[in-house]
Amino acid sequence: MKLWIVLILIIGGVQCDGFSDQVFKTLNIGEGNACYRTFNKTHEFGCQATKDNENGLIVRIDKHEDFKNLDSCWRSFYPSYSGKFWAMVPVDLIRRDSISMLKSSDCLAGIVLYNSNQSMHPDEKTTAASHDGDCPNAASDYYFQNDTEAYCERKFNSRGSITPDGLMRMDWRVQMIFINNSTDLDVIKRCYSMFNTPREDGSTGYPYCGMSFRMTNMAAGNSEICYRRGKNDAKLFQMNIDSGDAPQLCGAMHSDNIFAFPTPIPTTPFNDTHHSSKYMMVASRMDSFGMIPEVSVGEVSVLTSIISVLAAARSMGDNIEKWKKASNVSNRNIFFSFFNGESLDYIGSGTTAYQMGKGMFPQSLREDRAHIHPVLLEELEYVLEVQQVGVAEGRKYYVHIDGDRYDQDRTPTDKIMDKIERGLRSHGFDLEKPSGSQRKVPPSSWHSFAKADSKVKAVLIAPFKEEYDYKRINSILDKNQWTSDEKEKAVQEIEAVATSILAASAEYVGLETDDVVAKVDKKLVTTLFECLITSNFWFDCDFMQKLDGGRYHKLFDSYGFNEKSTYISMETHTAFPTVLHWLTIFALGSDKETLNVKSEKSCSHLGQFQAMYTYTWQPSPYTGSFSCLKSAIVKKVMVSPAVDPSTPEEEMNTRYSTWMESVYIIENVNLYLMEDSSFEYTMLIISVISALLSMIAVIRCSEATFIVDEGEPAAEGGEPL
Amino acid sequence: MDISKLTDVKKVDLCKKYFLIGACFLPLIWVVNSFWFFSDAFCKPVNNHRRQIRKYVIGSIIGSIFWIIVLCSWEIFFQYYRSQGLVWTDFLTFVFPTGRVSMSFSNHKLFDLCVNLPKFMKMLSNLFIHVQFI
Repeated sequence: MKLWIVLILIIGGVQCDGFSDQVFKTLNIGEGNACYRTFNKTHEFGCQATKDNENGLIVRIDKHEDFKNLDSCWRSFYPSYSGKFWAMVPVDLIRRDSISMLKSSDCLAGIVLYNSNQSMHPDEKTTAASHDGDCPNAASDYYFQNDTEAYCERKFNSRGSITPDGLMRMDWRVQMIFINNSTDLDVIKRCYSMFNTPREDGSTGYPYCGMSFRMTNMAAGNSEICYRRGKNDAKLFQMNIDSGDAPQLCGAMHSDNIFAFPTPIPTTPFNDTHHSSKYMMVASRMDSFGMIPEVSVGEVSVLTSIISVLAAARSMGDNIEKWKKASNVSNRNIFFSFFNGESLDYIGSGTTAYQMGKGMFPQSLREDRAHIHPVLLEELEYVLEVQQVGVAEGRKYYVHIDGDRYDQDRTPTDKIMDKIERGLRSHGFDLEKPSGSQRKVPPSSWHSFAKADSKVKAVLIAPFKEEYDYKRINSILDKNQWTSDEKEKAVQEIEAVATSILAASAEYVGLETDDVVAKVDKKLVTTLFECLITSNFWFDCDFMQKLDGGRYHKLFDSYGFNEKSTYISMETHTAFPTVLHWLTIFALGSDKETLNVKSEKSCSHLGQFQAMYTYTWQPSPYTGSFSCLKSAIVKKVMVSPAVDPSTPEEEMNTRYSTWMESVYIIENVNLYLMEDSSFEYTMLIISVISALLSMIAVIRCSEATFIVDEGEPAAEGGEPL
Repeated sequence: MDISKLTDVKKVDLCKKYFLIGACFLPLIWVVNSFWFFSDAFCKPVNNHRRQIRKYVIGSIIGSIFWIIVLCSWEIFFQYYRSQGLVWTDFLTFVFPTGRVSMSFSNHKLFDLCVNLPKFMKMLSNLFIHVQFI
């Protein structure tokens, strides 16, 4: 009896710890690696976890023929399994013919995307892999909003788009994650190969390798609903214990935009309304997206154009006195704009146009001090923009203008186009000028200003005429393997476009275009190409490491900070605006007047009461030594007026972007083994039997069972107690 | 309180008080009144006092049924439109449902809802007819 009790106690006294790490293999999925919900004014897009799409058996789709298994739900491989599947799909297999199968399948829980080993080249012509629609930003098009054109009449991206509306505007019923960590990917592949791979005879059996993942979005519906719910007066009974403010279920997409003024804007007293300056804005976008928004390098969508503008800015900075003098004489100025959020209905340029209309650009008016004279819409004459540089067919570029506004006064625009042509020709490229039927501007930042002012003219330099030739605009696959010839050609194009920007700008301000003024540093272009495009991360190359000088800090464990991404994200959740800001300061900053400033503290004090200039303690990317750079560069967070609480009068105005993204909770991926349902019944029976045995054992115990008294028998035998 | 120990006069008085209190928009009082005095009203031999109790109990039962219909109708109506994320439903909601909005009538405003109210009432009456047949 006692031995039996001891045995039970030993078995029952085994130390019990949680054993989830023995059941699950957990893979960390960071912010930005999974598809989440986004909204515009009327619709919701993206992915949401439900009870049906959390768990699934892992399968692989390695080639196009494997998609046919979606119809049969892999019945031939897993006949006894009736649940859903997590399909591993390389990104390059997301094509027009496969997307409808993925979307309509009822047996998918989710998709695990990863980069395939197959590399893409910039002149790849056959694969349509743009995650944008046929008509990028169709709803924000000036001609559509002005009733000049029907919705999506000119399909610029029809050759490249996978779906007519774009993959970013798709409401998925499945979840989606992107695994870029090769270790994690290998774990999933190994789990699949060990348990889910069919045997030689084609059969499979339990246990299977399964996966669970959960991405829970707080918001739903559309931007209008979500924005309204975030207001403090949204509910009759508002009780927020933590902060007193209503909890936000979603947030407007917004981030830094960068504006650089090489020639200083005049300062004026507060009540001076004299307008005398005119401006040409040299613009480029700094954002793109993919079907998982954050996963977008945007080499051709963004980076090549930015490099050409930076090269032009650097050249201007090297000869700034000439430009200043010419601007003073002609009263015409050039400034550079890098707009963020342009791929999402022109967030940056739309907000800029709004602020220009209110006299709040680049700064709000100050009553207590002299301020820089705001740049008003009526002062903006030209928006000179460059797009998709580096992928021209042959050696030909095109300039796009708006015919109606061109006809108002042709001469200045003709002169500018002539200079652009000369600039391109000097590098062996041709320019085709617009004729009769092509006098409408493709999707570009100009549309925001055109809606706000009837006189702003567009000059868009691009390698396409009526349709994009590059088929991976705004795509996860806008990431190329550049051969040395392709790279050399791209660098030549960037250099040529930068020269034409300088030539056009010189013409505008009345500066004679000569070899000095229009000279672009080809070495800089090559270096920037290596650093921003060829390198794996922004700070991998020596140039950028020196420019960094130890200043870069990863603020979040997000995709935007771990990988190269040009997605707008939410303000500080991505590194690229910081990278571009530093590069712009390098291009246009000067230390000629601050050579005696030897510390960061002194440098920051210089800018304390400045209206126009900022002083930045930044290292040279060539030498690595720090200096105090004076520049007139504004890094400004722009929130679309339609979703900005500080502009309630424009709430949900479709003239501006209404894009918002949901607050979400993201959990890790768990890999586990699935057993047959008969296994559960077996375990249930075993547990019931164990419980019965325990009850039988315990029920026979009484108080005497546990009292071990050796004294009483001895006392009965006459021994003292 | 054990009402079996009360006299008939006190029972009438108590039942009357509960009935009057329940009329102040307190339907649960009527429900309690109905159950409490039901046996006195209908299961015991009739006398003057019990006739009065019966009157109040019947009144309480009718009032309870009325309130049940009103509250159930409102709850069905509100929950039906609440899932669609409408302005007025969000205003009355205490906790926003997260992650899910049914978009079938996303553009309805309150005026349109009033126009659709007869349709909704017809739907409700059809539901009751079907329940009756079951």
